[in-house]
Amino acid sequence: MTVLSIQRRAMGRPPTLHTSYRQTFRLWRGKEWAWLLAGITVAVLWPFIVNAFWLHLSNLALIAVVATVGLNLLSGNARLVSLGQAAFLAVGGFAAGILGAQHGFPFWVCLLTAAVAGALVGILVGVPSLRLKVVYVAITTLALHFAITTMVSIYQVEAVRAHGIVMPIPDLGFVKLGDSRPWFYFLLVVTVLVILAALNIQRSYLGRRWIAVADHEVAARSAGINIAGAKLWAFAISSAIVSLAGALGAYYEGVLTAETYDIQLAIVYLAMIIVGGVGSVLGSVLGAVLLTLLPYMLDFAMKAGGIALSGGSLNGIHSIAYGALILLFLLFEPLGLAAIWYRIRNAGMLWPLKYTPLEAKR
Amino acid sequence: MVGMMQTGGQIPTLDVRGLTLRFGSVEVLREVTLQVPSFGITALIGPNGAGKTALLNAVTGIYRPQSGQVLLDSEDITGLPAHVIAKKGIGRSFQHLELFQRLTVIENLLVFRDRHFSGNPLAALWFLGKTARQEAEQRAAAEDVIDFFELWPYRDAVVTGLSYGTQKIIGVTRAMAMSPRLLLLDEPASGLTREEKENLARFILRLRSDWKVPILWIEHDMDLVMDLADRIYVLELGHCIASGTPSEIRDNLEVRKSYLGAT
Repeated sequence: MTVLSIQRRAMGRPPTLHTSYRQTFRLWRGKEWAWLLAGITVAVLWPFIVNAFWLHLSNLALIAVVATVGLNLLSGNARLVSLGQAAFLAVGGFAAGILGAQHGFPFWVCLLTAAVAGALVGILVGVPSLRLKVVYVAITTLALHFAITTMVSIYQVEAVRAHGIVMPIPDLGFVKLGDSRPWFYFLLVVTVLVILAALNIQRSYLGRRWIAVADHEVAARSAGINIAGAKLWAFAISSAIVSLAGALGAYYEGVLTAETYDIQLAIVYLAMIIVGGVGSVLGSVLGAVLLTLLPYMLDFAMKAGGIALSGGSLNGIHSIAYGALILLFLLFEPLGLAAIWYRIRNAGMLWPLKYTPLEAKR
Repeated sequence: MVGMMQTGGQIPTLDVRGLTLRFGSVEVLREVTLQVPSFGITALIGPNGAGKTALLNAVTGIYRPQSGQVLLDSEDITGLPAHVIAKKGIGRSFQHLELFQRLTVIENLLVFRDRHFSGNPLAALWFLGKTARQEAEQRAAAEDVIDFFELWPYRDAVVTGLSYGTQKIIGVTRAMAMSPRLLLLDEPASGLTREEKENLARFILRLRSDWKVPILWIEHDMDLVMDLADRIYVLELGHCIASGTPSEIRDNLEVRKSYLGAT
């Protein structure tokens, strides 16, 4: 079963020798021990290296990574462009809020229920989307956005008035997530699991199905793929992950308010996958981290430059920055940060040769 | 009238009986009757707009015929959803390169092996035992088809970047990757160079002799059809006007008048 596989996919690696079919889809090449060790070391030490503010930002970034990975499966792989990201985050947040804060259910139960609730809502909005294409799916999910945000606003007013729901401190049994440090480790584990799940989906029949259905429906049906089934699974899995992120975010912030989930949030998440790389897990990570940090970096830069802005105008600057970044990437690197990284890596692997693998369109 | 083709007493793999397909008031197929025996190459010819591709679409469930029957190995599959019919083992290539543009060649093939994958999609999230084993097994099966069609240099290339002729062959390869019990080819030779056509002819003959898959083949290149087909159906204006061996068709006056051109 020896096969010489010349891997020339654009975002892949330069030619690689494979000696079994399993090697063609493995994630772990058995040579990354150094990277793994370095990664673990940095991760373990991270909360002690950075100050409290940066640790807080790291946690926000990790939650954003989970949500972006979820969105990218739906909007990047299955090409079902979703403006319902804020709605799915709200579903997760309020599922956790209602169960955890209002009824005192344990943390794990709330996380799980949030994910299941997200999946159900995803299927619900998926059904009318079955016969629709890109733009129209965006519109149905936009309708979902307003339906859900209205519902949670009404719930919030009825249940706790305007203050928002105060979330309990999660108890894992052996540790309480009261402080940024335990939160960081916990979020890191969750993020790594979600990233692994997304990579697994992409290298399995499930991910291929989604891309096939998005690329050519008639051909996908002729391959024996149930289009409705594939799309609903995409909605369910993606929304479950996003809602999980919503629940994590609610617990982490400590206070849950309906106003958090506005349409700008949904658009910022689309910006994350465009800047990071549509359909790429690495892209989701890079985009989420960059755009989570962007407003803080801007504030930092402006402070350093002696520009003092506040409130509305500051918000405006952030929006302009998001917009400009999306525009720049769409114009100059539609495949996002991930493609830039792959180019750099491939150049490094090939050096001093100049052979470039075929451009990949993924 | 159309004569019933003798298939040596065997049940035909595909048996189309009196199929009628209408779009509104336009009759695309009228009482089409056609059989694809379990061995050999059955060609379907006819002028543009005769309804050849429509017939494939009606057979594979992309279109729903108004009346008539489609039997696959004497199982009635009329009006079933397209993916259900495909799962029963009808592999199909398309006229206009309906490849999955974001996938590599091998991934295109694996998508067409979709019916050989089983299990709960949630298990794919963790890629445990069965998922991984299945991936390797199906990859091996897809590699057999790659070997057959000599596509080694392209297996890991994203299809978008490949030449038209190569993409066309990949369309046929992909249909065969399904391990189908019936292969439907929709003008696989259109737009190919002379050399690519000869390659294609070689593959089609080997599919017939080595893989013994029954083929229903739509084609406009009469030289190819006359040389390779075991039997031919002629479709005109949605109706079957003749059928027979290549020499019978060549001598058929009606066919010569309407399609081949009187000489």
